[in-house]
Amino acid sequence: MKLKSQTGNGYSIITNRSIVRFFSRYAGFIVVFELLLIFCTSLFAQSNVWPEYLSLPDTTAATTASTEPFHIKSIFLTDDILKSNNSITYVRDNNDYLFEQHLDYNVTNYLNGVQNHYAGLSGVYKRNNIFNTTATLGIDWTPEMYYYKSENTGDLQGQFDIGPVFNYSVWKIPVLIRAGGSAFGWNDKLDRTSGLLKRDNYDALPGYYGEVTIGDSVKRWFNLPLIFNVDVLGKEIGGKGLGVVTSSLKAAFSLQSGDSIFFHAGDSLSNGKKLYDAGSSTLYSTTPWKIEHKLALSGALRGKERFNIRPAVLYNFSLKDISYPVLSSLLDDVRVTENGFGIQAVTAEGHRLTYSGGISFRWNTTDRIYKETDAQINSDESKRKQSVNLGDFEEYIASTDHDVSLHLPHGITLNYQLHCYRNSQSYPYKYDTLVNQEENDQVRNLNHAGILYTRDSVAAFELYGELAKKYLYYYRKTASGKSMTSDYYKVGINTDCNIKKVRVTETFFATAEKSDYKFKSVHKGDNFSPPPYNRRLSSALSIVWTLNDMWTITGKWNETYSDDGKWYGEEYFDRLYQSDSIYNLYHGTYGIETKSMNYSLQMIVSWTFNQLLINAGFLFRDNSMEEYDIVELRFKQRNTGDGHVSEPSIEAGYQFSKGYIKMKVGRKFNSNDSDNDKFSKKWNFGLGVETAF
Amino acid sequence: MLLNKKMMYMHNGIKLVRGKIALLLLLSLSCGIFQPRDTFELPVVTVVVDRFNFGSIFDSIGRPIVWKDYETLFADSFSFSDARTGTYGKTKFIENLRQMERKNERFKITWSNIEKPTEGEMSRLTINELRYTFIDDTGAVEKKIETGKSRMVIVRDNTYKLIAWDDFPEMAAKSIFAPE
Repeated sequence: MKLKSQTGNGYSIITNRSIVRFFSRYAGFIVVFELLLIFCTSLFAQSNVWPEYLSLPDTTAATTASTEPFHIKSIFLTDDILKSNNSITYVRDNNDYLFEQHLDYNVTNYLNGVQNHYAGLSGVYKRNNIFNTTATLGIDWTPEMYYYKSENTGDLQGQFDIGPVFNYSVWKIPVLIRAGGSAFGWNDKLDRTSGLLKRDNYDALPGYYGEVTIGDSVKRWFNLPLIFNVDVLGKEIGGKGLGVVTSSLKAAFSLQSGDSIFFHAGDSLSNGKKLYDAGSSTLYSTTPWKIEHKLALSGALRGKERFNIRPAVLYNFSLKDISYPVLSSLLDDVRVTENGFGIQAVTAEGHRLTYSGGISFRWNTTDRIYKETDAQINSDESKRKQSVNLGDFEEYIASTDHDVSLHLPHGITLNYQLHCYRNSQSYPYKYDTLVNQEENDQVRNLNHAGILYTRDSVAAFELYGELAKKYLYYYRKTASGKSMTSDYYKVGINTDCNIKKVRVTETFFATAEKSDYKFKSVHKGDNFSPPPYNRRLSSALSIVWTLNDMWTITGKWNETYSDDGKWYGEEYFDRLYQSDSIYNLYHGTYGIETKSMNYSLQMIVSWTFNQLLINAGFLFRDNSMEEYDIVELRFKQRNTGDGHVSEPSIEAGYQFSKGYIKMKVGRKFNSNDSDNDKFSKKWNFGLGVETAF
Repeated sequence: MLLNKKMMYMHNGIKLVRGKIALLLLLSLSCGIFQPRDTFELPVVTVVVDRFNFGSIFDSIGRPIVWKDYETLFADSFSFSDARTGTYGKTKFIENLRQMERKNERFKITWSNIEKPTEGEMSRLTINELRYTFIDDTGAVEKKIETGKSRMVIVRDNTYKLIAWDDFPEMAAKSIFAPE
């Protein structure tokens, strides 16, 4: 039966004789790949998810450009803070010219005296078909204003670029050239006494800019599966300059064998001083001269399906350098290098047995003050360089993920997953008594097994269990006492079923985690502190009753019980310190210190009519916590400051041909809150609009 | 006949691949990649100093903590947000604090205006108007004093932990807690 099933669907291509021949032809490749896979398991690790950034963007999908000249988008939210993002765009695009004007205004008010405001008025005007070619020529402008206000101070910055812009295509590769004049103005004395409009507080400096861009992130070069773009930008204001070069190359090729090769490279270099930033309370100054270089390379070989398996091999390298050429005293120069290698194997969908697995390894180094030699660092009498260099570390990360499913008749699926992860950090430097104490390993090995039953779209039921072993080890003497292992257990049930017009879903799980210290002697006696232990029980029930096309009633009941405490293992007791009564009471037990019960009930009534949707809801929430009193030997209610919370709300959404509008209004009532009677408080309000006309 | 023979060969190949995957699973678990090192220095009991004086914040709101270390102080989903620049996760932020400690053995920080926290969802406590004064006196560079305001969110997870911290620096272009 199994053989028939496989032969009947996935292997029908076997009847093609050319495919039959392929094994002998590519046997060498498969053997090498699998040997590599086995070899690597003894060295490295990674995940089983294909990195989508390696794939080329799909250019075959039809793009629909809006013909409406006005586009408005606005979001307004207020709860603990007030946030509003708004944009209006006007576009005219025809055979003769393109005109585009943006108006953007964003504000974040933290309601504690601090506010961020941003306003932008960028735009462009370009004439098409210049000199009877595909070239366009015009002008663009980018005025921007930024205002940061704190309780006592604030600063206002304005920036304005304006200049000609020229577009052309060379062998269908887009080329953009723009240049022009800049200005930067600021007011850094926006305190309560000086006033916003006092003219003496304003300063401004002129400058210029130039930019060349070749290619873009979508356009393929020469109709090949190759995307390349480079951008060079230079800007100078008041004698302070910044140059930025960014480039990226992405390629994907199919081999005759049906396998594919992917490659991605990205490089960026910025050199100079950031235009202007607030440097102190009274003077406006530039950021320090900073050189930042980033390089990233990725390559992958993705095989076609062979023996039901689609394999892939991936490698990536990245480098990041940050240096401050004239301010080395900051000791902030840093170089970070990362290498990663991974292997994946995935079966095609539809087979009785499906599998996806991967293993990956990353090894990273962080090198602070990397331009300094060991001799220079050692000879620093202030010891500051040595202290900073102690932060250098090497990191080794291994991970492997495997997911196997066996699809049985009658909609039953058996599933097993293995997820392993290890992160090791080593700090290579040591100076006399100066040692970085953070050297550590974190390991988690998790097994997941489940059984799933599905019946069309009517019912689904899943029962699963998880078992994990965790390690958190510190290796240096002042921290190694914290090293511990943990055993983690979880069981859960997920159900989803439709009974006529009622849909019921329930998500239930129970967890327990018991820890144990590696060095128990550190936690005995005067430092008596047994290891942590905790448990959780959680249930989320949802019932949706669809009365008819217009009315729906939804009820939700969430409840979580949790407790935290310590495992009073026999090995943590020192009979010279602990009295017999304490020993007899606790040893070999789980001592709960706190336990809490959180639950919420929610009812939502929904009404739909044409494109209008209205939800009216009511939420009730209560949290309670109890703490164990070791004097009275009983649990006592703890006042967490929370009372019962009730929150009525109403939502409305209207979808129309040119966009949508959404609104939500709600108010919180807390039984412990003295502001409940103040009508103006505790409201939350949201409004979202998007339209074009 | 020849075709049947080759089909049988293919099925044998499939079995071989499955066998190797099973072997890989076993190797993954048994070869020691996913086991921690066992090269400990014998522990000594030390007191980790609360250089940033975080304990005083918890004392002031009536939720004292037993100071242990940064890993215990910050919740796993902790995020630090500088109102002018960006957001940092727990690991990166702790590294920022440690780097500040390593670069300067003499800085001081004081927290003030610690008002009664407001209560939010899931027992979260928010301190809205917390002010700080940071004095950086390395001796190697000019003494630097930074002031600012913070909003901190605290959760109860066995002990009280910081889960969110929004920083509003008053003078510097970037928060002193996240200078990169």
